[in-house]
Amino acid sequence: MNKEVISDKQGIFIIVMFIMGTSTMLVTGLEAKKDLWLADILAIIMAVPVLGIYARLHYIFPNKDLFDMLVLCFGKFIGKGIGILYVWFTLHLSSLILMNIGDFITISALSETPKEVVKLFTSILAIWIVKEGIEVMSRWSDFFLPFMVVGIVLTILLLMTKIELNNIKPLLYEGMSPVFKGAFEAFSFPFAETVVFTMAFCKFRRKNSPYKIYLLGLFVGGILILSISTIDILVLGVNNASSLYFPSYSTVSKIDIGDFVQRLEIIAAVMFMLGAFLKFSICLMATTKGITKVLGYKGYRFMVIPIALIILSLASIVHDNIMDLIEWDQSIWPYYAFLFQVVFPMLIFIVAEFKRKYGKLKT
Amino acid sequence: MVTVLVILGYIIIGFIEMVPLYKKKQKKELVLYSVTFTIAFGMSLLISVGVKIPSPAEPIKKIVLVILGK
Repeated sequence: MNKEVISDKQGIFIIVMFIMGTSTMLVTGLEAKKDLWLADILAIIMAVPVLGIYARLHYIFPNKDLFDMLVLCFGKFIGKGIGILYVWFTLHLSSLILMNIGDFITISALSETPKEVVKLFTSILAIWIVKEGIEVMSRWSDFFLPFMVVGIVLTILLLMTKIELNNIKPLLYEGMSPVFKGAFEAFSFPFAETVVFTMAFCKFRRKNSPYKIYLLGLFVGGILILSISTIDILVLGVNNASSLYFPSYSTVSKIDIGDFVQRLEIIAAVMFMLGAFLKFSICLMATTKGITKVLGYKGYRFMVIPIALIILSLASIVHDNIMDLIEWDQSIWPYYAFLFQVVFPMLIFIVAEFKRKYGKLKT
Repeated sequence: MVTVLVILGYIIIGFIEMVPLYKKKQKKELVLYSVTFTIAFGMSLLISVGVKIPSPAEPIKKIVLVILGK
């Protein structure tokens, strides 16, 4: 009944939307200053091998998700221990995303509404979509991604008159080291967060489709992120972009063509929200699946509501305000997430390849 | 006022969700459900009363800084 199989196209769409999610609101990699575009390209190149490893894991263990892989590779005790760490990671990540959504809506559109109300209604929708399963989620992204892409291309075209090319000159004024720092940050914030998909996905149409889904999704999503962050720097300049909480939102509000086409930022806000909502639901799904898998239950749907309630409470205590969140995101998050995004998948990959070579792997 | 709403909301959700689990005799599921539900309820109640719960971000920051050696 619940097969939860997704097609290649839907998989690519869902990954593109996930990557665009919250990183279109908060532009990452701003440490690279004027060379942000270079940092973004570097981050995409860095992400290719890592996402290749995720796809390879799906290829080695067909019809399994990350929690099963951990148990198969490290045995029950250590595997479940790492699984609990992953549950904490996704729980924390989803509360950060939820907090981000609440702050974005209250700062940009509904300034008199309490944040908790926005968070509550977002979580109700997310609970609904997670209970319906990954198939509904992928069809949802199938429907909404074209609107997002058309909207982004259209805003970029409308912003062409506001571009100031001097904002990105001179190239590499401060040398390569800030570029690497920015690239590391951009790598860990949108691109390598796709580790969540190793927990959410488990069945594909063909054996080779994970490669196609992850790499093509990364490529398309990366190009969109690259164009959005470059246009932000080109229009606003580095100093403005770094001092604003939501640079893309302010960039879109600069659109003004003949005093007639203006104030388009609310359309942009809706588009950012679509991505953020999908990202939140995927993280919620990964957390629920994780906690039920680690504790040995069948099916995850009965646990969605209590987990969402915990996330809702966690979202209001994890950081006091958006400044705190952005500062934490820049200084701590890349190192903290590196453990889950690169170190553990790499370990699983090495162990799985060895076991496969000596024929000890039971899948 | 907010506290009353929180308690009311949790009672309604708990009733709607737990009764089917109880009727289907899924005891294992019911145990996990009630444990997480109680944690969530406790957190929301404390937040609504105005108690400041320590954020998990601070210990993570300390651990990361220790590992990086800064």
